[in-house]
Amino acid sequence: MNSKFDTFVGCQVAAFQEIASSMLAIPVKESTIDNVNGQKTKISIVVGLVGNYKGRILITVDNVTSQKMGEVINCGELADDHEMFLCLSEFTNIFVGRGLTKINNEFKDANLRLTPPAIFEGDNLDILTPAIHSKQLFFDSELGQIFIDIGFEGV
Amino acid sequence: MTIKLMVVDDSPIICKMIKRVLEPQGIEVVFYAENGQVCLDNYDEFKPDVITMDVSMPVLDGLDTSRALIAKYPDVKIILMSSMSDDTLVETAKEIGIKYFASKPIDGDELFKVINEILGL
Repeated sequence: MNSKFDTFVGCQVAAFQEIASSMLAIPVKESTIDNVNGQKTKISIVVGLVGNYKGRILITVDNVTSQKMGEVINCGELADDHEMFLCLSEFTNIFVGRGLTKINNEFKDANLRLTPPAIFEGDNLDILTPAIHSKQLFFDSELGQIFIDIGFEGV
Repeated sequence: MTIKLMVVDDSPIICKMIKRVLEPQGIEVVFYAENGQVCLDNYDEFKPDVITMDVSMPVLDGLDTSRALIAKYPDVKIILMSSMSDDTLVETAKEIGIKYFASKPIDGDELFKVINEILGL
């Protein structure tokens, strides 16, 4: 048990739940079943964390869920995939930022900031970051399942 | 009276959201700047009543942009908008002279209230 790591993860999970509730207007429920990674076409968004610790947060959804999330965030039909990517990036940016605020206020030495999101889309997509201590979480919602991988180095 | 707003944010989705919640309230987005440098380059032309300023942006971030704007136009009205609001960021912003903050995700009522407050309406 690494208590600081668990606290960092807990801050991000709480932020994710808050932002899912406000931006997507849906409750999310943690699940132990992976319904995302087996899907053929997926979209992943990666946000880097820099400061006195390092890390990254990865969010992955299938292409149907990404479309639904984008439409909710956009309050209507999306013009194109680019707009959907922007909506998902903003969602990720906002929940990770909220989580970092919680961490920075609790651990004054952390001074964590986020890097601009990178978006990956493709068939049979796998993103691996082996040299990092991470926690994988699955959240079910009525829009579909959202997979989050939260990793920190040196925590 | 129409209030003129400049949105400075690297995400055009944020500008779209702000337009959606504020334009029905009589606030017009007169210019969208995708980074701080674009804001500085266009401020004189549009002379907005108020600016919503993102923090993390490429080229020139929101804190440096605000510092430059306040130095040149001491009466400029800036609302710092960020998903982050930790004590260090808020303290740094206050040192620069930024007095108003709004959090992301955008809450239309909160933002409208802050704009009215900053303009003394």
